[in-house]
Amino acid sequence: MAKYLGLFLLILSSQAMAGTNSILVLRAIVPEVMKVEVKVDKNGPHAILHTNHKGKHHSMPKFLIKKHESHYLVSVTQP
Amino acid sequence: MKKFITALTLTTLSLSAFSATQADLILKGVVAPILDISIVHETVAGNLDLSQAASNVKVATLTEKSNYAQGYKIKAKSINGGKLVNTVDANSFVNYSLTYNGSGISLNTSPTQIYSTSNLKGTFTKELKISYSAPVNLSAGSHEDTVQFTIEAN
Repeated sequence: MAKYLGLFLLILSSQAMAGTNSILVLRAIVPEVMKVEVKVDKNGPHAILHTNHKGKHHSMPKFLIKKHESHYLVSVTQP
Repeated sequence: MKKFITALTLTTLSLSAFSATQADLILKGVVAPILDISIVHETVAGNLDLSQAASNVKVATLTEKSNYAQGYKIKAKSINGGKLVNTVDANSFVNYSLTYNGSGISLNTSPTQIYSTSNLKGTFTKELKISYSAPVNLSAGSHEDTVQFTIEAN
């Protein structure tokens, strides 16, 4: 009985391998970008967020900009 | 006497039936139909670089087998109609094109014939190559498409 079961499985396997369809799968991964650019103009410092993260566009991070001697310190808080 | 004559007649008739001046030998062989298509992916097919343009990058090799006298045809169908689409953001996609054995093919969401031969029999390999322009403003994540190739007898 087991012999016939093996033969049956072999036939099924052969049919699965010989087909009239083939699938080409194409895939690319875009890495996440999260970059904060700080610009200082006559209106003072302001931060610009560069991101490709889906969903973050509608909930912008909060920036807290503080002057520290000759630098600006920017802290980013994700909502 | 009557029985003897009857038996002799039947014997004569029987011998007549077996004797002839020709005999036919019938030989027959059956060739099973073959119609098969398979694909071997290149590693790059699953890891395309979308940070820059691509031109004729080999992504796979198709192997077609047929012994049909009238030849065969190949059809292709793209799930996303020739676009690599972000799996979570349908607005993020890259249009691409494929060549089949060096010739550009149409990538539609319904099966479209891309090749036909009227009498070729045997095993044939065809290279698949992808091209696309440098994408911009793509969402992070996986961008994918699946192309199904089908072989049909003519």
